[in-house]
Amino acid sequence: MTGRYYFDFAAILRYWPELLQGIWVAALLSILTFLLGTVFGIFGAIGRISRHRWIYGLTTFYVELFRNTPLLVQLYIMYYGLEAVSIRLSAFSAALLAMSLNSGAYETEIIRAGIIAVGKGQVEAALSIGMTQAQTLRKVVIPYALQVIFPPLGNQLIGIILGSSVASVITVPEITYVALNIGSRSYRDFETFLVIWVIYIGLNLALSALFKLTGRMAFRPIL
Amino acid sequence: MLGDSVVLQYAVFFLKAAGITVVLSALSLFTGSVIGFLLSLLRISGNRVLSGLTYAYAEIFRGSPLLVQLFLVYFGLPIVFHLDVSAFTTVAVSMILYTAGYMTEIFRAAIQAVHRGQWDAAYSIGMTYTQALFKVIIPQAMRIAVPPTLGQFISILKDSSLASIIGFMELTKAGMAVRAATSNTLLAFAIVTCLYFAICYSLSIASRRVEVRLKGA
Repeated sequence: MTGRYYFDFAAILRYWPELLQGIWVAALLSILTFLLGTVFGIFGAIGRISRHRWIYGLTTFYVELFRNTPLLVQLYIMYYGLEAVSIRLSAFSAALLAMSLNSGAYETEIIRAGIIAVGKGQVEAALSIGMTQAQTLRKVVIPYALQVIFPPLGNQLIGIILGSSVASVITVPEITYVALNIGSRSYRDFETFLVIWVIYIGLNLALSALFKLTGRMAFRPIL
Repeated sequence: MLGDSVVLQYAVFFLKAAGITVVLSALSLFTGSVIGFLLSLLRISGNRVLSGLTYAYAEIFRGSPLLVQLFLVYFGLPIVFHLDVSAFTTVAVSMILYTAGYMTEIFRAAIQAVHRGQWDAAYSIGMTYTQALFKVIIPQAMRIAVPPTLGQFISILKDSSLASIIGFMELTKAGMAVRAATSNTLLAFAIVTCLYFAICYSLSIASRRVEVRLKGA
């Protein structure tokens, strides 16, 4: 024991513009990851319910590969692995690619579950009252599937934001990277990480509340 | 012949690293489960303060990145608490605290998933709260908790790769070390990916089987 530690949060206050910049990069990376991941997820889900053996096999392989290996390793492969075969991506692009492929694998299963949840009976009922296939899709299948997938997709976005901290490892200047940077210059690593800890928790709580609210407003109980 | 022995050396190195990843993850899961189980009892205790505190604990540790928690322990233990700890201790402490947050919620959900009638039945034959909880509810909750716990194990195995960032030699760090030593990036990453996949995918399959069996029972 060499005496107690004196916290000094004032020392890192002057770095707030950098922290804000880091939050912005994390937000941008997370939103783009979510959008791209949803595109992968839609195609993946179609592949996973396809009767075509090769399409089903390929998408299943994609889903299992990305869900059963660490995001960190996926990031390294997209950044250093592609570089080894002379494909040089910026740190941000590599992170976006790895994270959206990763998220796409999880979103595939979320969207697939949503589609399966609709059930044959509802489709048959819609068709039997004279709806066309397009009407059935637009008025029955999609609204119900959206209601099922909305909560897990919201959790997925929160998961992406938390996961985006790992992108710091390949030098993407998001919050965690900025914190390491500020810490090494101010010698106040612990305080800096306490601050960004609170930022992450706050972001997470705010988003959870927002999703619950929009979920309740957007989807009046159908069942 | 020389080539063979070098290959063998690397194979042993990778397998040992994979073993460390599994041991570290199993230790985190086990210790995190013990803490999570105790916290889940407080969570359902009906005591507002204890329940609120455990809820906050779970929300905080599940609602922030493990990497940030890892750095908090990494910087916090030596600076604030003057503890000179190894990379292993740093990693284990943060992974246990993180896992405990998830396990609290898994056990809470499992306990609450046991049908209400089981409580009524236990009370009606004269059991106290403690007897009903430990003799009737928890044995059933434990079965319900098996599949999500296996899922958590898979998550921890993957998350343990973050330990490499603070220099702990597990599977991911081993891959980076071999990559640096041989400059064969692709092969190093391919081996690491295959090993993680082999471990996690077999657990995924086991988890699915258990789930099917429990549903049948």
